[in-house]
Amino acid sequence: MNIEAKHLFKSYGDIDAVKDFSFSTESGKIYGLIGPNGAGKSTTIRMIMGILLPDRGEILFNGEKLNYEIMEKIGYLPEERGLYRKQIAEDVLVYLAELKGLKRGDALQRMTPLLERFELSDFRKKKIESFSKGMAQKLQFISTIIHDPDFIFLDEPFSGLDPISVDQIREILLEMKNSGKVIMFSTHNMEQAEKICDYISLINHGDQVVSGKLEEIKKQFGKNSISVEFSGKLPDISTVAKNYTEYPKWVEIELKDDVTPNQALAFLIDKISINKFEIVNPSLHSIFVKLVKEDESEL
Amino acid sequence: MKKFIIIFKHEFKVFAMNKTFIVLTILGPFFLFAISILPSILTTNITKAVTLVVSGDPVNIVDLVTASLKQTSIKVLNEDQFIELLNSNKKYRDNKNIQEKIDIARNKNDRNAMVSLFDFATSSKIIDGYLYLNADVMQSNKAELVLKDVADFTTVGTVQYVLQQVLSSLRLVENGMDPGLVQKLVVQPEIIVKQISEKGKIKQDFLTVLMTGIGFSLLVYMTILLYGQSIGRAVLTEKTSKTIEVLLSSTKPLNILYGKIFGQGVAALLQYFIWISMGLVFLKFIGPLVNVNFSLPFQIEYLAYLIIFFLLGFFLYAALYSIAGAASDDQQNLDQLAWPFIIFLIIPLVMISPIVTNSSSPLVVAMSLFPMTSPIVMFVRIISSTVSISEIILSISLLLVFIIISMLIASRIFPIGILMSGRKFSFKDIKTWLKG
Repeated sequence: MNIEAKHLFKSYGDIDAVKDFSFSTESGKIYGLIGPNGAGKSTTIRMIMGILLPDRGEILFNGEKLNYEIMEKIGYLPEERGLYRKQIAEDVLVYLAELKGLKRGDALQRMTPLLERFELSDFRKKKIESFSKGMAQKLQFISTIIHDPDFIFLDEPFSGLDPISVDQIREILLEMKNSGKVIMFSTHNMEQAEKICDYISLINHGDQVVSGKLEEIKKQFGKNSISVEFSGKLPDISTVAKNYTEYPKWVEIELKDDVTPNQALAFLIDKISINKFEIVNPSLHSIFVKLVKEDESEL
Repeated sequence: MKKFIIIFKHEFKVFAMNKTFIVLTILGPFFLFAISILPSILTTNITKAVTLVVSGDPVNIVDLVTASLKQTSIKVLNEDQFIELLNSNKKYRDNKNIQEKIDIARNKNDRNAMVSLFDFATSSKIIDGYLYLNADVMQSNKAELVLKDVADFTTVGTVQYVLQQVLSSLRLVENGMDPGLVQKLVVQPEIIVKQISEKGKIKQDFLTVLMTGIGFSLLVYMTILLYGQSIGRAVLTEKTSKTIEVLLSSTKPLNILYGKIFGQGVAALLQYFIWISMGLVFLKFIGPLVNVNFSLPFQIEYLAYLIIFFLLGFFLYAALYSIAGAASDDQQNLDQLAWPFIIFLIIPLVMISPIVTNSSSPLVVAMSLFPMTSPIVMFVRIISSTVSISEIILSISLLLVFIIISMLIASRIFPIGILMSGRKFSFKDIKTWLKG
């Protein structure tokens, strides 16, 4: 199973939402779409889903254009969640599953273990308006996968969820990946993307800034970086750092070209109390920040 | 087709299982009963309820008018009977001011005092009004009829007719005709009103027809508006809650549009069938058992026209409301966009009286053919007058054409509008979407 998108373009009036976006996925891989707000991630996903038509370009599922048969094999979780608040959870799940080609009996059967897994079994016969926000999001995730789709598209799937729910969804996504599904999701959550994505595509202002295997991209941008866990206040490190990302207790530093990790260690050792020092590939977050800044300076 | 059927079944179930729908279905027969049967009861009660005092200076004319009015359904009182009625109530018997005025009116023969008592009694609803004849009524040909309810044209018409008969007779006698001969010649004819139909003639009366026309036009108006608004709201809710995106990942926009309209349309049709069936069962079987014998003020077959015109009206306004829902961003926006076509539902209600009384006039005929008003107007014309089958077919045909055009417009606008959000859209935006 694979999806291939070739040179997708989409504009709204004078605004180019997506410019020349291309990608290709394989079975059993997770593809991450990363970008700031308004970058064009949701528009891209909607074009792949067939909700929006691209102005130019082509999208193929297993070599075919989107049709009803393929639509039944797709699971979609939109960015802005919405289900029928006045209706009972079970009825909504059955309805959405039937639209995906599942029979009523099969839908009822399949929802049981999923509801149990997300601890929603007691709410099966309740109206969705009685659900909390997190519960409604979990229910909507269930509606996305209840028909065991081959292609799963998730727009900001972790947004608004507590850590336990994030882990539950992540576990299911990894299970689906291992069973050969094609998964694509957009997110701002770099940590999650880093943990589960095999491929990423970074979008900014509609442009595809970088795309490819996550590991290869990290190697490509991962020259001369260190990660330091410390106590105390971080001093001015502009003499050794080209870029850095500071957190309360650690910092990730991309060293200047003429600075070695040993030199950086020597510089820092008498200024802060170092708990851990590591030569690393940069995090997706710092690659993201670097590329977006470079991209914006070019603009 | 498969997706359309799934959406159709879902929309039907959601609509028909809704509490409002169930309550309306149960209460509907009572409403239908009221608008079918009550007009007959009410018209009888209305004419019987009027109590008038006849007073004035030319005693002979007052007596003649009183005697003639007593032969109608109006209850007539002379001045003595009026005072007796007033004094029968302890509140007025003990009222010093009223008793003083009665004394002045009687003992000093003060007409102003008597008239002020009449005014008081009319405004206090002790009587419905009074007819006062001045001394020069024969010469001036004018009289004063004071009523609490000046819209009571039946009473006004009756009093006018009686007075005209009395004055004409007196003038003939004054000009030398034999009184006995005048009485024979000036006889009020009895007019029996009947409506012609395929089954022959049915006795009918104007007020029953008017009330029935008002009732059924209200029913069709309310149900079309209610169900149309439901469609608009459902589209708006799916759009603003983003549920529409989930649906669009499974099916095409037009399946959603048509599934919604037909699903709710069939639910509404079911409701009409339940209402009519319950009504007919009552009329045919239960009514006679409990000794209640009523009849519909029109042929039962005309109920088929009720269903046809309601259904056609529903589909037309459902298509229009789906356009408005798709183009709206909130309920207020929806109401603003829907207003221009709701007007066409309101106009027949406002004009119901001329529609009933003048149903063959060019304007009313045009309204019964113009698709935006015909669902209400044509049905009211059918039950209140004889409408040719060719006119009915033409009205239905024009409605069908309009429905197809509206559905085609909705088909263009709905897929675009449901994905647009963030601001209020105007008719200009809708026009742009239509051009594609």
